[in-house]
Amino acid sequence: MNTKTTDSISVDLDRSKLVSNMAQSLETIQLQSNIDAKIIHNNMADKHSSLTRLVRQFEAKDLQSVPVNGQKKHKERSNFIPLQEWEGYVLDIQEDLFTASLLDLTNKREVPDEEAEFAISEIAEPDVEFLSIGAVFRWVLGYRIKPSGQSRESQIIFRRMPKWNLESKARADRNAERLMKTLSWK
Amino acid sequence: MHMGFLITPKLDTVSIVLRGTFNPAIFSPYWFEKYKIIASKAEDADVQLIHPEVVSFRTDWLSLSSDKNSFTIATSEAPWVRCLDLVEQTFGDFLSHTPITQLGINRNIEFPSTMEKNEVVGHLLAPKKPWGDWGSQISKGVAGNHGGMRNVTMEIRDLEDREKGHVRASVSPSEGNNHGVVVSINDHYEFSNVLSDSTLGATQAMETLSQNFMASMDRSASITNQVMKLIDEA
Repeated sequence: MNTKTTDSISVDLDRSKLVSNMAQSLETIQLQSNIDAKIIHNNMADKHSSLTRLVRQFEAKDLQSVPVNGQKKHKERSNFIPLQEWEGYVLDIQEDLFTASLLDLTNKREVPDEEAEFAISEIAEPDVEFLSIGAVFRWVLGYRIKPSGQSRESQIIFRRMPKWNLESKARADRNAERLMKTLSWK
Repeated sequence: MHMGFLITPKLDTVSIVLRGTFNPAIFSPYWFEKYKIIASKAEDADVQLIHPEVVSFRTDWLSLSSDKNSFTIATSEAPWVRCLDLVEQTFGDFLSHTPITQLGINRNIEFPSTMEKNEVVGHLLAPKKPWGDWGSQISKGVAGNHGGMRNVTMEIRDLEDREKGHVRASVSPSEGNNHGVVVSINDHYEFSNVLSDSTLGATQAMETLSQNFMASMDRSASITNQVMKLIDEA
């Protein structure tokens, strides 16, 4: 049995060790910025330099901000802190708008008791293809915090939930059975 | 729910860590795009490393890394449920035979405080008197410069919702000079029978994740609010 823990810091440290070992053995590493990534293998000195740089990045825990290929611009780090969140269910779609039933998660409502209309333009581009009647989404109001400042923001994110299959059905049956056992009739 | 903190956090990061046996080479941004697990375009991802033994990349909202024994996704961008959906799709729909032996639902919340408040709460959580003469030495000098509590970790085991595991909460001052407080929670589950029964794969871990993710978010918010209350009243 693996006795290691699952806190993210321990896992980062393990991975850092792994990369360090790889660098020492000068193992071929694939660095890629796109699908036709190149394997760096023809110049051992270059490879060692790349590996050393990677190890340093891992050790500095700054992988997110340092692209390996040096081609991509550094993205400004930001955090989106939620203030209020709803789960929505699409009821109707018109030309520029869609209507949804909303469950207020912040106030721990148990059933959807609100309806709202949203402009389709509010949906982030990659999520538009998920807009369909019955689709489930999260609507979050919050603060975006960037090094350059803080602003209020609204986000609509469509959920990509796992498919229903026999295992999911069996799991739902088990959950229902468990729930039934907790019910008592007065 | 995760909102409703007494003090608005400066940073809130959620991560899901899986331990088991993985094939990191699979986890490229293109694989996730192909199966529509993430919305971001793969070509926009910042890829740090893709190798048969380790992979690490970042998209607009998530950081993902994996080696042969672990898989981690982390985000500081609400809604947190996106992490749940990504892991459930990956190991529920596509890689369900992956043997997963441990699951961690983690949260790190950093919120603003002051040097004086940190001093008071540090003393509450880790009193100096039991440290004897050394504790007295720590108390001397100018507040903020003389040291004090660096980290306190509390753990609960024997939980009803898991066969084996724990919830561990740590409190520490922020790094640097901004006098914040960081609360880190590791909600850890172990699945000891996965190694002896290869048919189980990721099933137990996904079932546990699905049933406990939102409750875990609630619990971590509740623990953090308790620490925030101490800071607020200090």
